[in-house]
Amino acid sequence: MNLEKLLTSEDDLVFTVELEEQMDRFLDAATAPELCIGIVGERFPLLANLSVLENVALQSMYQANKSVAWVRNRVAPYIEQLALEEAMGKRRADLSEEELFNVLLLRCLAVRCRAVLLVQPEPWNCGSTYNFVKGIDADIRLWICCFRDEAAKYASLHLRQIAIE
Amino acid sequence: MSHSLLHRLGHTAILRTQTFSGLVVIFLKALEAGVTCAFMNRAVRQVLLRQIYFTAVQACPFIGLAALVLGAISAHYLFNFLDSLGAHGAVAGYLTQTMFKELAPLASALLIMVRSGPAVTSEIALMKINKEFQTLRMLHVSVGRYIFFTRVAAFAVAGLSLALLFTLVGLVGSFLVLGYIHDIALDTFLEQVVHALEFDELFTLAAKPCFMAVAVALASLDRGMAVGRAFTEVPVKLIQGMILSIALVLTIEIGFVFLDQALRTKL
Repeated sequence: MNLEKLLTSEDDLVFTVELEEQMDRFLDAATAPELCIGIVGERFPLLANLSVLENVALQSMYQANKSVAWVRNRVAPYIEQLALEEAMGKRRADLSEEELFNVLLLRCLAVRCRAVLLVQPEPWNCGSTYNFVKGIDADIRLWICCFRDEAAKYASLHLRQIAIE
Repeated sequence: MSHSLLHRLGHTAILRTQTFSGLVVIFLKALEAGVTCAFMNRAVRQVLLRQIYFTAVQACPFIGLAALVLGAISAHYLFNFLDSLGAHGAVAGYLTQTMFKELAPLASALLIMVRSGPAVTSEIALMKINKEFQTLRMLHVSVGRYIFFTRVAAFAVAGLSLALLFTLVGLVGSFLVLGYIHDIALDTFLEQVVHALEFDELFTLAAKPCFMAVAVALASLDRGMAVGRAFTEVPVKLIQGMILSIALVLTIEIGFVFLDQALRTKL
């Protein structure tokens, strides 16, 4: 599957897999640095010994040598929209489920990713996340990856489905 | 019977080799990060400074107190011993040599081993169990630079600085006993201390605590990385880390004894 080609298309997609190994292979492919896909899911948790802000800033600090303050400035509008002002100084263990999801989303947005890939998201999160991502000026795709029998949960988003073999 | 024995011997040999190769791989990755100036990177520098704070700075009060007490006690006993031989004039010289060469490196390595080694092992183990290494991979953050280098470098800095602090405070403790109880003047004491140190030995003196601390870091990191997915593995790996650290520190100690002997023979 050519993810680069899918990124250039305008579609938001749901990728469905049958087996755990297919999911692993797909996520492996999606983490390629040249694709710049931000992944939101329990498989890629926040680092426990860093604060939320440091977690969000980590990739920019490491890859582009930016400061925490620079990253905070960059994501300031998103912090407000996602209601994460109070959470920024907290650690992973102190976050609610909703805050945790939003922080993972913010981590993707901090590096200006080309697509946000939600791995098996809760259906109640998807609608608001879709609206939020589409409301951002940047041209970002919203992708969902799930098992085939879970795909119906996301039907209300009317996304094109792609089955991964 | 012989087949089973052979199998067990082979299995043990492979396990030991794997541990050793694991240590070498971690060391090489940390060394590569050091050579390529990984500390210039903000993310790496932030972790490095934190590790130095936890390993070196926070340990200062304890090592200072231990040095003061041990310095005073060893000065008292050494003075009495040398006095019985009629050689109490050499007490400061012997003390300096003992502090620099043996007590300080061992005390700092022991403190790091007890205080920071298990912390690193359990931190790395929990990161593995919580899949945080997958996060680092996803964010394209190098484990060698961000995890290994920061710990190894911080331990090296801590080993050297804690050993120096131990020596200085230990000598102060020694003088308190020698000056106030045994009436040795400060200028006599300082003169003996300076005479006891030779410039040629400085590299060896600095290298020993550094090597010992790095060995503790490597053992702790290696055992932390050896954890699979179960929390129950963590205490086992902690103990293994401690034992491996002790074995490495003793090996380095023996190595330096031989080196010292070789240098003396050469001179």
